[in-house]
Order: sequence, then structure tokens, then C-alpha cells
Amino acid sequence: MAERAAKRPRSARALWQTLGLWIIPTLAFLMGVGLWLTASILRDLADSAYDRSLSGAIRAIDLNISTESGGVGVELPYPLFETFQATAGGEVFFRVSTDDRLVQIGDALLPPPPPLPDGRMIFYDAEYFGRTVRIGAYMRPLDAPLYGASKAQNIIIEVAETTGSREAFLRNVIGRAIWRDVLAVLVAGGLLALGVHMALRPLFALKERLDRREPDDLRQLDGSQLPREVQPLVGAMNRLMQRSRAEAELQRRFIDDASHQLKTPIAVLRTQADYALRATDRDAQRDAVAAMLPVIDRTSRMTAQLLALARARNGAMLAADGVGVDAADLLREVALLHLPPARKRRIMLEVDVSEMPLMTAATEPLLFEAVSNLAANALAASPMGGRVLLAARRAEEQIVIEVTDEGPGMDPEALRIAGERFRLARSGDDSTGLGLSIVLSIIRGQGGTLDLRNRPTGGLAATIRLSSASPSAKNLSD
Amino acid sequence: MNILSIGRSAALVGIAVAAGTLAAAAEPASPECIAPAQPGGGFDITCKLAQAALKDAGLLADPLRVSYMPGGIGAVAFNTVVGQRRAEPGTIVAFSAGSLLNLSQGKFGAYTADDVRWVASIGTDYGAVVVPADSPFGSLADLMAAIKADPASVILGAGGTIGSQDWMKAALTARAAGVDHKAMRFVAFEGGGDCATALQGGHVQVCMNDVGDSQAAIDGGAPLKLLAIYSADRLAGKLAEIPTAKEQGFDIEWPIVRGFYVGPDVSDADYQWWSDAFATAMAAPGYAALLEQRNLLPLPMVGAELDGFVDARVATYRELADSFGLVAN
Repeated sequence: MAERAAKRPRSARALWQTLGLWIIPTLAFLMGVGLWLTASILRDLADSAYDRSLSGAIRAIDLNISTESGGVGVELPYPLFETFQATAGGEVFFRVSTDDRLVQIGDALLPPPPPLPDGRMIFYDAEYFGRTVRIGAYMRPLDAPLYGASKAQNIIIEVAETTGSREAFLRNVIGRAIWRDVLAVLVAGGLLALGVHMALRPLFALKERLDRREPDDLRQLDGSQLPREVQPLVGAMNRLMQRSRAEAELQRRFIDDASHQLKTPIAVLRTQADYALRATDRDAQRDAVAAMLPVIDRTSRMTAQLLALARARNGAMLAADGVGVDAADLLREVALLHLPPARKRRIMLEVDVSEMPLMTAATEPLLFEAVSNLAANALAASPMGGRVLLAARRAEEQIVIEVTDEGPGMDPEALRIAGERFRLARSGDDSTGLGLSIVLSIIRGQGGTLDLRNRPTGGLAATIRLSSASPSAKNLSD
Repeated sequence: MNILSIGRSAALVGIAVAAGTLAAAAEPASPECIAPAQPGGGFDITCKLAQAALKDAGLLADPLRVSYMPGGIGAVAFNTVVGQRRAEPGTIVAFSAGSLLNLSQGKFGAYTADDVRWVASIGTDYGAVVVPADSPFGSLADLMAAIKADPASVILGAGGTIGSQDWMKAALTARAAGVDHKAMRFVAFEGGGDCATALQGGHVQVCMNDVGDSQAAIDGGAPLKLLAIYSADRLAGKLAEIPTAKEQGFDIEWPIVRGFYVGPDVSDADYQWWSDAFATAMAAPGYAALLEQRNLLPLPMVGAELDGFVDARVATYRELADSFGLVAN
């Protein structure tokens, strides 16, 4: 997550902006489409409403056409138009003609009509003296033929109206629709901002609570009041804090234990130094200082082990370096290191490696430390002239490292609590008690297991199982 | 524009028919005069004049009935008489110079002037420009200037559509004023009567009417006034105040002959009866007064003289219509 944020620093956009960028243009687009539809529907509606009054005028003119005289009598439609114009607000034109072209009354210069269906009105737009007019046209056969023609002539009635009034009506209605939609978008934007603010308020409150906490307050957060979407985040934070707390606890215990362990030898040294100072006899002084040396050695060893333990814990927190370790090589190097003390006690130190190489996914110095610790323990437990075996083999996807000795082994209770610091696995030696604890920390840190058991033939077998080297070694889990 | 002027001498000749020659034929039954327009226009006046003149001369036992057959300013009536009622002895149909103009353009269907029998001309009228009494136009020039400035602002009304004589008067005036006649807004009516009605309602601003029907409306109390008369000289009497178009700079004369025709299959005897009857009536002493009441001038013609006149006019009108590109119709 940190890497992605680093790659896209500009992505730290406010939530309301992100939502707004997605929603407002979409909303505006939808409104636009809606407006366009509304406008065309309104235009149709306005046309049909206005056309209806045109058709009323046509019907009224039609009613006043008489052929009783034998001619075509058309009563002037002007009184009708006066009421019509009063409602329509435009100017009205008309033309009545017969299709034999003998009769033509009214606005003779209206554009000629398109081909007309019989008995059905049609409506169309046209130009008349530079103005747009809407024309309704209607054709029907006369009741009786004129002048004895074989077939009744058709009479054509056209009524035209200037479109100013309906355009103004449409402008008005569409204008109001636009205002309504703009207002709706603005309100939606406002509600969005408000909604985001309200939804984020518990988060701000959470931030306030966190800010007010003491630095070492690692208590769990209560996420039950937060939005459901945020709860996984709170869960993750809680787990992180849990780990931190566990880590802090370990650290505290470590420091506790370490100071406790160092206190005793330092007190012993102090006593011995006091004794040496008080002694008047030079030999006694010399003996006292000589007696300090093993204590100093042991303390020094313990300090080194404490450092290793701390490093192992830190290593557990780090990712494996990904470079495989050859267990066979590692065993040989460990054996080489422990060869002098082994010789001193005539212990046979053997290395048994089934194949070469045995690559395992681990951090080399840590694994070395672990195996070295086990070897040291084994040598210490071995009787004079005994045998210590360092073996490694492959078992399926795992590398198994085994350290066996011919010592007394461990009692069951000791086996159970093995790995806890400063529990002395075996009494009576100069072990610091840190050894197994370090090994266990390291092996767990490397994603492996440590198994201790007493061998049926006597002696202890310590078995490390690590996954064999593969690029996808995962070490940080658990 | 001399081609349009009718020799005033025509009024003085051809009334040689004696009153005694009438005894030859019997009076036709149920005599009827068809005014081929809505009431109140020139055709109405023509029929009413015949009604009065024939009654005053005591020539008809039954009064002459006036009927109206609107439709294309005479077109429907002409087609009816030529097609359906060809041989009705008692039916005469009013015509005017406008009918002859329409015939010359083929606006009366497939027929020509030879398809009916021309009975008599009983007087002449003149074209007139009529506006409401409170019109902003004081002269023909005012009117033309307004049309020139904004053609759509002035609506011209007329009896008959594009190509009719009323339209022709307007187009000639526009041409003389340098205005494109196609730019004029033009509303057609079924006769001058309807136009005068629309004028009073404010639906049109000008009517290209005739002196006869316009003055009749004014005499009847309509709030109208004449802007110009298309005659060579000022008319007599109360019309003497109205300037001619010529005086106002528009050299146009538009005399309007008025008369009657009958169907093509009317017998010679009946045709002759009508000719003789009109000759007699027009020679009667009271006839001049009847004309004057209707603001008409005398133009008494019957028989062959009238046929010759009609043929000459139709030919003249065809040339005129041609000049406006109307004959292609």
C-alpha cells in the first residue's frame, strides 16, 4: 500500500471529489438526455395542442362552406379568427380553394400544400412572407359536384398560424425544465457532500480518539460504531496493534530476563572482586581473580547469546533475504567451528549429508546460529568419547536438519517447556538457558519447526524442518 | 395604357333598337339573374340594375329574381351555364371586365368567350382603391411607399385571386411605382363585397375594388374612403372629389364593363328577346338616373357590337396577362 501511494501521489483526492467526479458528470449527462427527450416530447405535445386549435378553425370554416347556390359560398372566417388569435396570440391566415383551381379565396400566396390525403388533416411548417408558420390543411370532396361535373371537386382548406406563440410557450416550458434540472444537480451535489461528511464523521471521531491516546496505549479500538465498510480497516489496525503489543511484551520480558540473568554473575563478580581486594595474601588474590574468569567468560557468552536472540527476533520481523542456504555447507561449517571443543573431550563429531546441495529458504547467519546452538548443546550433553551427529536430508518439500547426541536426554517436563528462555534444559552444565529459546525463535521466524525428542537408544534428537528453497518462501506468517 | 380605355363614344352609339320590336318573342318564364359572387359586390349591383331597369320599363311580368352563385369570381357560374344549364331561357348571368380577363387567361376552365351568348352591356364602372376612412394612407403614393418600405406590412384585399382584375390593378400600380408585384401581400375574396367587409374589420388594409360597389357601401354608411379611381378623368357628381390614379402619377385606366350573357343553347328567339328588352330598358328616360344611383356610366351595347367588343377586350387582356407571365396557366 505504501508503495502504491508513493507511485501515485496525486491520488490523495478527497472522497467527495472522487464521488463528485463520478456522479455529477453522469448526472448532468442523464439530465441532458432527459431534457432532450422532454423537449421533443413537449414539442410534440405543444404541436398537437396548437394543431388542435388549427384543426378547430379548419372545421369551423368547413362548416361555413355552402354549395346550396350551386357555387361555393365561403363565409369569411375573420370573426372566428378574432377569438382564435386572442387565444393563440399569433397571426392567422387561411385559404380555401378547389382542386380544379377555379376557386381560390384568402391568402392566395400561401405556399402550395403537399399532396393531401382525403378527409384527414395534415400539419406542416412553412414560410410565409419571411415568417415561420404552422399550416393545417384539409381536403374533402364537395357534397355535390359544381356546374354538373361528373365528379365532385375537392375543396381544400388551409389555415396557417405564426409560430411565435408556441415557440414562446416551448421556450418557457423548456427553460423551466432546464432550471429544475440544474437545481436538481446542484442539490444532488450538495447532498453528496453532506452525505460524505456525515458518513465520515465517525472516522474523524476515531482519528480524534487515536490522537488523544497515550503513545503506549495499544488497546483494541472499538469499531462497532463505524460504517461497515471501514470495519475491516479497524480490524486490520487492531491486529497490527495486537502484534505490536505482543512484540512490546516480548521485548519487555527479554529486558527483564536479561537484566535478571546479568544481575547474578555481576553480583558474583562483585563479591569475588571484594574478596580479592580484601585478601592480603597474593596467592589468595590471584585465586580470587582466577575464579572470576569463568564467570566473566560465561557472562560474555550469555551476552553474545542475548544479542543473537535479539537479532533472531528482529530477523523474524524481516522478510527472508530470499537467497537459499545450502544446509550441507552450513552443517560442515558448524562442525568445523565445534571441532576443537569436541576433540578436547574426544567426542566424535560427524556430518551426514544425504545429497548436495540441500537448498533451504532461510537467512544464513540465523540458521547458522540455530544449528550452532544445537551442536553446542549436544556437545555439552555428550559424555566423554561420545558421538554427535549433524545430519541433513530432503523429505518431500522440506529440508530436515537433525542433531543427535548420546547424552542423558531430557525429562518429559523439560521437553514440554523447551524453548522458554532461561529454563535450563539440562542441569549441571554452564548453559545459559538461552540456547533453545534462540533456536526456537529463529526456526519459527524462518517458518520452520523444531522438534525435540529422546531417542530410544538414549540421547536427544533435535529436528529442524524448513521448507526447501523456492522463490516463494514465505517466512513472515505466524 | 390607352389600350385599356374604352372609347367614350361607345356610350353614344348602338341604341338604335326601337321599343316596338319586342312583340316577336314571348317573355321567358321565371326570369333569373345570377350574380356569380357573394352579395354586395359589382355583380350584385349589375343584377340589381337589370332588375330595376326591366321593372321600370315594364318588360317583365314576373320580377327578375337575383341569385348568388359564388365561386372563382364567375368561374363556377360560367361553367354551370356552359356545362349544366346550357339552354335555360330565363337565366342571365352578370359579367364584368374581370370575367373577360379571367377568360383570357383560361381561368374559367376549358372554355372561351365563344362558349356563351353575350346579351348586353349595361354600363361601365371603374376600378377604385378603397381604404378605411381612418386609414393612415392619404394617397395612392402613400400606399405604394408603405408597400415599398415593407411589403408584408400592407395586406391588399381583392375580389378574385392572382391574375384577377383586382389583382391586375394592384400589380399595374405596383409596377408603375417600381414595386415588385410578387412582393405584395394579397388576400383573395369572393367579390368586392366580402373585401369591403374584411376592410371594415381591419383584416386587410386596402381593397382593390370598383367605384360602383365601393361607393354603394359608403352610401350605405360604411366608414370607407376612396384613394383613387382608375379613370381617364375625374367622374361627375360626388365622385368629382376623388382624384384619378393618373393625377397621382400612376398612368393607369381600368374601366369595367358590366353586362350579361346567357347559355350557349338558348334559342335565338329568347336571346333576341333579352337583347331587345335591354335595348328598350336602356333607352328609357329613367335609366340614366338608375346608372347614376349606382355610380355607373352608360355603355349600352347588344348583339354583334357586343360580341366584337368582347373579342377585342379578351385579346387585349391576354396581352396584358402575358406581360405579367400569367397566361401559362
